[in-house]
Amino acid sequence: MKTLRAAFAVVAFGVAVLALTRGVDAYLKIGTRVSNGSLVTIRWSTFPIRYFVTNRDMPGVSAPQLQQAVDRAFHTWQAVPNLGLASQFVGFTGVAPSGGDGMNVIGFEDHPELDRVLAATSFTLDTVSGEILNSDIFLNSAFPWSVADAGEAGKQDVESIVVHELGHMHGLGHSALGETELLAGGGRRVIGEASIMFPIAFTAGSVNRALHPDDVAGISDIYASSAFRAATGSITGHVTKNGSGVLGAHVVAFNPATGAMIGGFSLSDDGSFAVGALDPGTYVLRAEPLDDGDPGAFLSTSLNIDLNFQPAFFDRLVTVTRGGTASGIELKVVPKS
Amino acid sequence: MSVRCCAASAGLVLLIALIASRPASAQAIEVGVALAFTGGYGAGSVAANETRNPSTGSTPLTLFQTDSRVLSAPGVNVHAGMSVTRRLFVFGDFQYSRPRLRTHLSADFEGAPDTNADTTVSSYLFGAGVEYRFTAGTWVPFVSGGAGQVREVPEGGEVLTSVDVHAGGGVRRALTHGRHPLGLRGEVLATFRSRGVGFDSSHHVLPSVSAGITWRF
Repeated sequence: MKTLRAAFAVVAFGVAVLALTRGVDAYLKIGTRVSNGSLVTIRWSTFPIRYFVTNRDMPGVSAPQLQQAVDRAFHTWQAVPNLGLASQFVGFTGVAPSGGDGMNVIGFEDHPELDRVLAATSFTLDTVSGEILNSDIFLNSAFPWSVADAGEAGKQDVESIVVHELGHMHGLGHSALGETELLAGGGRRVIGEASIMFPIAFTAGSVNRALHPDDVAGISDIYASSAFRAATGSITGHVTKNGSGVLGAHVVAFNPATGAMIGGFSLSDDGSFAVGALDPGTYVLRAEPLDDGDPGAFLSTSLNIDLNFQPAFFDRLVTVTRGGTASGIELKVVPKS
Repeated sequence: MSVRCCAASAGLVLLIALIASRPASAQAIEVGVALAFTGGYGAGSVAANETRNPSTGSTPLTLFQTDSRVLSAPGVNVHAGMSVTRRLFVFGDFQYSRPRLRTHLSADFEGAPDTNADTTVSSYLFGAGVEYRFTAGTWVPFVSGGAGQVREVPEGGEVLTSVDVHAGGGVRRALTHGRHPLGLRGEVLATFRSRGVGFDSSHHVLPSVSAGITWRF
C-alpha cells in the first residue's frame, strides 16, 4: 500500500491474512499463517500473472492509458534477471478491483474515506500453501492521477504507484529505506528513499518508477533460483541494547563499492536480523529505529517494537561471499536518552 | 592487467630457467628475507545516497558518508634470485602483510555517531624483478624494478587480485665474505597498484621500504 503518510491500514478480504515474515534470507515479505500453523511467505507459484484492468476512465487517465502504465510497471519488475516473472493482460473488465472474485484486477476505485491511502493491494491465498491465488490493486480515485511521462503537477503518477503495489502483489512488504520529515500542518513528507517499497509516496507531480538494489534483493529473495542464492550471500546477527535483544530495528547493509543499500529487520525478541541477496563484497552495517511516526507501516503493532535507541554503525566491515553467510555479528545500540 | 600478470609470470619462468641452467662454479644464487613496510592509500569516498523527493531538493539525500583507507602495514618479504651478470640480478619474491581496511563513517542523516569500521586484509604478493648494481664494493647501491600479482583476502572474504608494478632502489652491504657470504639489503620502492580491496576504481601509488639479510651460495 502506498500512502500519503505512514499510515498502515490493511485492506484484505476473503481468506487473506497479512503478516510480515522473513525467510532464509530475511527481506521483509508478506506472510500468512497457513493451516499447519507455520508462517510462510506468500508468492505466486505459476506465471504469467493474468490480469484485468478496470474499464473505467478517470479525468486525465483513460482505461487504455492505465493499462499501458500497468504493463510498464509489470515490466519494471520483470526486468530483474533470472526470476522468471511474467504477466499477461487479459482484457478490460467492469469487475471492481477489490472483489475477491478469482480475477486479478487493477483499476480505479472510489475510497474517499481513505484520505491518506493512494492505493492498496489485496490477496486471496491458499490457506495450506500460502500460494497467491489472485490479487487486486485499487488506485484511489479520490486523488488526481496522471500518466504523463514526466509527471504532472499536483497529480500522482500512476506508473510510480503501480510499481510499488506490484511489489506487494508479488509478495514484498514495505521497506524502511527512506527518510521523512514532519510537516507543519501534520503528517509526514518523504525526503528521500532507496526503495520503491518505502510506504510513503513522493509529492504529487513527481515520478519515481525505478527499482533500487533493495527492491531487487527483496524480489530475488522470494523468487530467485538456487543458482542466484549460490551467487549471493547474507549477513546475520543480533541488534542488542544493554545486552538485550532489540526487536524492530532496521538494519542496512551498504556496499561502498557499488553504492547499493539493502535493508533488513530484527524480527524477534533476541534482536536477530538477516540481510540477504547480497552481492559478494565488503559492507557497512547500520542500525536505526523504525520511523516513530508510524512503525506499524512496517511491522505489526502487536509486536513490542523498540524505538528507543540511537542509530549506530557496526564497528567492523563485514565481508560477504558467494553462497555464504557472515554471521555472529552483534550490533550494539544505546538508548536515546 | 593480464598482460602484466603474464609479464610477471614470464619473469618467474625466466628466473627458474636461469637457476636451472646456472653454471656449477658460479656463486650467484641468493636468498633473502626482509621486514617490509608498505604505505597506505585512500580507498575511496562514497556516500550512501537515497533518491531525493524532488519537492525537497535536487541533490541525492545522503544517509551517511564513507571514507575508506587501506592503512600502512608491516610485512615479511622473501626473495630468491641469481646474478646473470656482475651487475644484473634477477629474482622472484613473495611478500605477506596484513593491512587494515578502515572506513570512516560520518555525517549520518539521523545522527549516528561517527565510527571507524575496520577489517583485516591478508595480502600476498607474488612477483619477479630485476636489480642493477652500480658497483661491486662493500656498499653496493642498486636500482630495481619488477611486477607481480597481489592477492588480497578480506577477513571472511574471497580472494581479490590486483597488479603490482614497482620501481626503486637501495643499497647492499656485505657482512661476511667467503663461500656463502651474508649481507644486508635495504630498498625503497614506489609501487603502482591496481584496484584491490578498496572501494574506488582508481589505481594507487604507495611507498614501501624493506630491510633484511641476504645469503649467497
